Amino acid sequence: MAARFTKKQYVDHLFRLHDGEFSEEDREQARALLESDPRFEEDAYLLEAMGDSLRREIEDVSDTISFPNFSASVMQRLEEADNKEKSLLQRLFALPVMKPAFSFGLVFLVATCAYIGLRSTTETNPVAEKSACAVENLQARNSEAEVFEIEGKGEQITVIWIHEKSLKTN
Amino acid sequence: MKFRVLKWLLLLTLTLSVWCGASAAFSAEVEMKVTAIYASRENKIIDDRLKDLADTLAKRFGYTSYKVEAEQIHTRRFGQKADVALPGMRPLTLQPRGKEPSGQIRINLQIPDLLMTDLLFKSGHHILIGGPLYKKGVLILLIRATEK
Repeated sequence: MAARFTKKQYVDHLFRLHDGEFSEEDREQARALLESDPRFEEDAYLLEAMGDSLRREIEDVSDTISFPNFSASVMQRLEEADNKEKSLLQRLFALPVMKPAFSFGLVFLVATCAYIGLRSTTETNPVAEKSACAVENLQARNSEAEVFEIEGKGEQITVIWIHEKSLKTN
Repeated sequence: MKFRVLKWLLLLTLTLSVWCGASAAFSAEVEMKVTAIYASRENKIIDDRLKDLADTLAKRFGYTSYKVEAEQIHTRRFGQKADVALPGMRPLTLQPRGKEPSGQIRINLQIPDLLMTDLLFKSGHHILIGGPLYKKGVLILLIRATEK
């Protein structure tokens, strides 16, 4: 992979390789072109790839190099990059709604994990709470019912004991 | 490059969030396990599955024999009823009603002509219902409710 350059470093490096082939004015124009085009800001990797590609081209045709050739080559590369069809995922990421959606997702995930973690912590410790269960609205028919608790292994067990009055089941 | 990694991390985050949210929303199921135990003083045989509980019951009620007669597991959503066939008894109906603010699971229990009540379970804990006469002893129902 090519070394990373800032735009200024890239232009300086490019022209340093071909010292004397560009005028100072050419350098300024080339630097201005690179610095003014926002497409260079979008993807550092593209800049690196172009740097490699352009350097090879310039080295191949070093006897005829000039700013118009250089400029045309840069513009051609930019056009190629623009025309290259973006993948569905790239287009998805480019949507303006994605950033707030991701932020919301992050907050939601943290909240959900905290909730699940808290819930599982309380549920996996049966000794933590003495009276874990309860009985409400008790209505016994043909019997009397008594509610109390007994000490089970690791937990208090609520007991409903039915004293049948007349119904014998077997 | 860093922004790309961040994008992937955020996409993963979003996916996990949706997954967690969906699983939480559809998790309102309650597993109810009913163990029917025949307790008597006929002998001193204790079912291996009840050894921990048998000591407690023997001290409290004085029975010497504990045998598991039936064991059933029913999983229901809130509002759905589960009919549990009990040995020698009228059917038992369990209906999860919802969750209390305390986090307890409210389950309505009905045994026709005998008992009707609401049981509030901490998930994974037990309630014991005993006393109905059965054979030469009594039937004890050990009920556990677990939120899924």
